[in-house]
Amino acid sequence: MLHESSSALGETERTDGLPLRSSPGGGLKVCLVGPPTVTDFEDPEVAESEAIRLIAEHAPIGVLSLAAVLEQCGAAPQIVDLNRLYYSYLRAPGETASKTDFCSYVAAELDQLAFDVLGFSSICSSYPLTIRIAEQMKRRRPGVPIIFGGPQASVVDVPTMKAYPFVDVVVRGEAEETLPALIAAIASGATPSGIHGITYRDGGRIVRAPNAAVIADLDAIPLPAFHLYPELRDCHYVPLELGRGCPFACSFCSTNDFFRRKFRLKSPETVIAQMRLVRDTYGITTFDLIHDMFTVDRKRVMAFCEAVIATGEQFYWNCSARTDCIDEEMIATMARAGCKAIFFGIETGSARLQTIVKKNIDLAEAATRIEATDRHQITTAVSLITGFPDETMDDLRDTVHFFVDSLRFDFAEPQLHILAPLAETPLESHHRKELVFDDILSDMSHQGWRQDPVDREMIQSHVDIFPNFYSIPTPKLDRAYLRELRDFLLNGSVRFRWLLVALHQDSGDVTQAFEAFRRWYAADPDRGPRPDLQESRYYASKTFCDDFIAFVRDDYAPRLARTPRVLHSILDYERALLAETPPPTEVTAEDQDISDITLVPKLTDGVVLTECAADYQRIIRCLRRKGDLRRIPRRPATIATRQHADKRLDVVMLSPLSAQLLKLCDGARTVSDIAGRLTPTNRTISAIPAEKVCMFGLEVLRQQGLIALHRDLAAKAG
Amino acid sequence: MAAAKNTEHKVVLTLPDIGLSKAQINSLKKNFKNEVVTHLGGPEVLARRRIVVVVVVVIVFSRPKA
Repeated sequence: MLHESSSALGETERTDGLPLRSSPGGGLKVCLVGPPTVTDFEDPEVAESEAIRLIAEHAPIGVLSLAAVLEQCGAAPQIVDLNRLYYSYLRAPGETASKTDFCSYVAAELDQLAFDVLGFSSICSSYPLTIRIAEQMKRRRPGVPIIFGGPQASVVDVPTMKAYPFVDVVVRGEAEETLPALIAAIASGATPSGIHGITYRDGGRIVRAPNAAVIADLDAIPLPAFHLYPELRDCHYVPLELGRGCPFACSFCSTNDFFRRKFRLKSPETVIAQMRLVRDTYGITTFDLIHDMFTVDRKRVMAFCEAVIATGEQFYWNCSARTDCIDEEMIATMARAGCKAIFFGIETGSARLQTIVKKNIDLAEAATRIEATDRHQITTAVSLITGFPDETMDDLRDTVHFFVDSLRFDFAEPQLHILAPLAETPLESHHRKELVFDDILSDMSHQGWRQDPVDREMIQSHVDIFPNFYSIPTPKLDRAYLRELRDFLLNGSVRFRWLLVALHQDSGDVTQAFEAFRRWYAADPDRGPRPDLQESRYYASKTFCDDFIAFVRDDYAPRLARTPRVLHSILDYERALLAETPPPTEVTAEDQDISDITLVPKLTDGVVLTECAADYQRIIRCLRRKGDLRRIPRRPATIATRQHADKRLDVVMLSPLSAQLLKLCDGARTVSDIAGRLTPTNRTISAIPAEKVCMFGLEVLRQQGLIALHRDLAAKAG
Repeated sequence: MAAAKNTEHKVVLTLPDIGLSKAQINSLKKNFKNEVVTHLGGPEVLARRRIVVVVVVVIVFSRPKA
């Protein structure tokens, strides 16, 4: 029973603490705030990087979907995307240190909007920030009901409402039916007590209503209200929901808490119609098709793909799958239907842990699937986790080996995460009393390289609300070691992928090379992580690259390697890639004719030659098939790297004759001089007049941008 | 996620007529076949994305300058 009284603001207030608007029915202005992900990176350089922006600058599909439903019900929703706001904040004039904090910035921005109800979607990594923003908004607009929803609030609803009295209601789980019912109740001043799927205040009590039923007919959910998100036109891709619910029960996963285990898919007709609508309205043809486990129902996946193929229209899309719910034929069909990227949650490379964490996938089969997606040129995220409470060093090695083995496939992008005990998952529930706050956070719960001090205080006070920021102890593994190994592998695989694979193949276990590297840098304070360049920043820096290359060259290859020549060749190549070559400033005279033998060829500015002891391409082929590196013959090869003005980098693997010719282009010799010094070893070439060989080769090199021809010898010589 | 590329490009090489026979041109093409790997934005993904440049020679008839 509600007790109402008029307020000075023309609003009504209830004794249960949930403010009500006196205006009845539709037209209620509802502001929905999408959860921030980009604030995970407090460093503006990182936040502005292309990789992060690609992730952050996409439509907040959850709140847009709810907005569409609310519009149907006569409410007037508006959307606030905290990722976009974060970029506005970063780009606002002034030094970061002198700016107000992001939370206050958001509150000030929200305060400029007109709304009757304020809803926050939530995810675990930014939940402290979401709560702080809500607190500021309640202070600014005490009469506006604050509703929480989304994956995090859904599972920590009661402790959140106990700890934070400014949260009026939590909508749990799928909200497309619950939220309109709640908004209608607020609009009409009715009690929300009959609404399933909410947690609300009743006087001093917090009441948890029964769960709402899952939404059986997903086709009935309208297209997300993209028209409320004008930034969509700037997006590279658009997220669209394919379906919900995962029938599996992995012990670390929170999906089942939110979408339940009932597997549901939208019909192909609905998804294709929505893709067409987005394409026709916004000109976007790439979609992130969201479903935690799209490929569970083979028949329906194939039907979807065949339907897309039958349209004859070109759409590109990404999806998630389990490696045991997909096969070669499906992968081929998905590729034909436009699948460009796939996410495989492998989780652990240890067969033992597969059983313990109830993932239960066959690792050999998983490797076969990754090979197949690579063959079909589908970019494949190979997601692995370490830090399971039962994990041993052997389990960790198995996971690391799976990671490195994935690197052998061009289209595979392995990831290694540290386990986050997500709230109310079986794993978190089982280990709840053991959780420790050791600052070795999962990237799932990472708020940058430093946790915000205000967040830290909240987290430390409420393990029940923020367990994902805590750790489950790993008695058989040093968690600091795990964190450093992760930084090493992730940064190493991005910066020198094949060197990492080669070290793994050479040693049989890349963790040995990692440990040797740690011993190597520990012997010299000028190497490795240091006070002014702490671990994660160090591994993300060029200093790490320089250190690691020095380690392999000076320590590992001569002392520990079985195939030092191969490692040196890869090092030479990787160094050529990493070398900072000057951008070209020279303008080549296009009208120069190579048959003019008085011209002086010279390396173009920005071109650098590097000698390798063995054929790099052959080494890579050998690494791909896990061949015997000792069989790689000594075969010197020359690489030319060329930096373009637009930062594009070309690497040219030179044929022996090209290399010989290029080395003679020192800017002091004419075409005629070079022809006199060229000594082709190939018999068929020897039969061709040297001048013609020289002209032909120089023209190839000139057209490949490696040399320029100059007329004035005196000016260019030396 | 951006899809990786592994593409074969054909580059037309235009040469003045310097009196090479077809057999000689074919032989020279083989001996000057360089493999070009290109990547936008730096070396990170370079090592796994190859663009093979196949040199195709088209002879342009013009008098060589002695």
